Amino acid sequence: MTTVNDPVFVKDLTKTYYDESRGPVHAVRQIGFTCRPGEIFGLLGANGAGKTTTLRMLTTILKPSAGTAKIMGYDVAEEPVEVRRHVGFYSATTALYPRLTARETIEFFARINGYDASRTPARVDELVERFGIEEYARARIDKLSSGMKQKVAIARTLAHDPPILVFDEPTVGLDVLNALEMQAILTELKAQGKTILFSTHIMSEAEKLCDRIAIIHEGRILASGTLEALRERTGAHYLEDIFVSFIQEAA
Amino acid sequence: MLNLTDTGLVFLRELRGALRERSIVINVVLVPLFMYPVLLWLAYTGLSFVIGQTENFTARVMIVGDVGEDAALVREIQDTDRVELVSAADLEAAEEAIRDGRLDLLVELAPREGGDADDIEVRITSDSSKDRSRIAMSRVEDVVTRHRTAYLERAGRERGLAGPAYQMIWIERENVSSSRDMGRFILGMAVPILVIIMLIVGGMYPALDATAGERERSTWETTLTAATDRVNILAGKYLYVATLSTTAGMLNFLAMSLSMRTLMAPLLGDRIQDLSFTIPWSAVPLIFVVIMLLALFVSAFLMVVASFARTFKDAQSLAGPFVTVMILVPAVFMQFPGLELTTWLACVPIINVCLVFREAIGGVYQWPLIGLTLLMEVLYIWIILRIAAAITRYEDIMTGSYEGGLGGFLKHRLLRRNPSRG
Repeated sequence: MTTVNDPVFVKDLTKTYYDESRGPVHAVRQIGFTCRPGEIFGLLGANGAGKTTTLRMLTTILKPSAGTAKIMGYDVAEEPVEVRRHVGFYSATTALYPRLTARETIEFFARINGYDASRTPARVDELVERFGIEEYARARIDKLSSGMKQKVAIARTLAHDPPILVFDEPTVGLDVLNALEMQAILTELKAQGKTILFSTHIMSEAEKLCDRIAIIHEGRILASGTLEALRERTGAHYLEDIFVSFIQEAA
Repeated sequence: MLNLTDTGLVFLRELRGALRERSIVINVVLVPLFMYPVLLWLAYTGLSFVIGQTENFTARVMIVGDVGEDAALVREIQDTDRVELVSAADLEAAEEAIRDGRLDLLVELAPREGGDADDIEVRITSDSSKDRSRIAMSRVEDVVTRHRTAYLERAGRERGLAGPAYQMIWIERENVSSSRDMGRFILGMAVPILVIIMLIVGGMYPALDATAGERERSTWETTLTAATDRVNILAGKYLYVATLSTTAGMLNFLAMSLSMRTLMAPLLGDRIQDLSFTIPWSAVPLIFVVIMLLALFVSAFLMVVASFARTFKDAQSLAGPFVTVMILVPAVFMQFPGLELTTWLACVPIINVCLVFREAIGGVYQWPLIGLTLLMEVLYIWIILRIAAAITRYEDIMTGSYEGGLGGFLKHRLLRRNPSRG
């Protein structure tokens, strides 16, 4: 059942860009979904389907052109600061400040996101230990390998202990071991009660991690539900087939 | 409403990163403090060497004409230090040689038409586009003037007239400016423009790095996910850029004030002993205020311009012409020693503070105009910050997808008030 009190509530969310040469470009068209507490909700779609634009609207980086989106009851257009306080956003394209150390990065994001100043050092220690980055916690980010940077980026996302985590294609560009580690981290965060909104174009990943999946294509959500429910609707077993089935139906 | 804690956090984060960036430290601290004075000293030393070389050369002078009665004058020219008499085939050849630089001066002596028997006319041909020719001319003119004065005195004595009897006008010169005034005049001509250059150079890299640089490194999106109002992020960045720009200006002012005497020594030679390069203590607070205001103005302007760029290189191209204008215009204006702060000039950004700066160094305080200058500068800063605040409302500019620049933004969006395309 969908309610406005769910941690993530999206209704008729739309994003239209204005391009000088092409005119209006509809990146996201009237989509709607909710994420329930403690679940992993996956946005599954091909490149350019509108996943990143949707997540950027939910994290207030972009402003919706129309529709409503609420995070923990806060409207993304009206109360962006409160929204950001309750969300941790991780993106493969979101880089870290190269001249800061890992500790300084985590500390900065804990403080700027409203984490209590007196508890911040302990929080930084906790995250440094959790992600095993003690050895290079005081090294400048630009001296770290991409695997190390990935761990620091996750720690940064969790710095203020937000109840909702948004991961935009978190395993893109990672080798198999790092991708598996990322999946383990997502599972662990879910176990801690975090609500996770997660976008991917990798079917196996969505199949393995998500409690519910929304298939997004050309800015529209074609279907959403549990894997079982999607199987029932299409009669296909594998997510890849389910995905293709919905795309063909839409075409 | 500005959140000072969040603004402070962003400011400290930027500052911490900047102090680890070699190019920023060099531009903000080392260049203003050491490199600039050293470079100027080298330039002045080189200049004085070149001047010395030019002044010490031996001028090649050709004298033609019936020297008869003028033999004494010819001898005097010949005996002059660093003058060598040479010959040429004819007058045409001599003029050609002057144009080619093989000869410096041609002196033609002839009886003056319609004059007394011992009257002579001296015709001097030179090439004023050549340093050597100009200096040769000056040397020969000195000799002719001395010769004429000696002749007049001799002729006067022969007629029973003492010098004062035929010298109708006496000129006595008195310079009321003290050594301190002259030193301050030189400081006022040089220091403000140098400080402004350093202030712009010191603020430029941080301004571009904090805006376009962040976008290029993809850290801008990271910054936008921070749970604070974007105004706090911009305020923190702005304070950071202004702090570094102010620091560069202050350090350069300090370095130039302390080293000006040494810098000018090669150029002024012995005359340096008569000059005192001290800045009145009473001017220091006003100078600091002026440097700070200028840094706030330059930082705001550079950040607004750079916010339209996607990469650091783009930002350099966008900011380059503005920086050139910001340096060149006051540099040209400050070349006029007589230019004073007036009501109109107090309204011209950058030039107004330059003039307040120069007058303060000279110990001159026109308080109503200083007040107007500061007010106008604050007004300009406020206008630029309003534009910066307007920019934050356009997400295509904030995310780097806007195609135009500052001019296009002002024309098509801000003045038409058309945020719908944001």
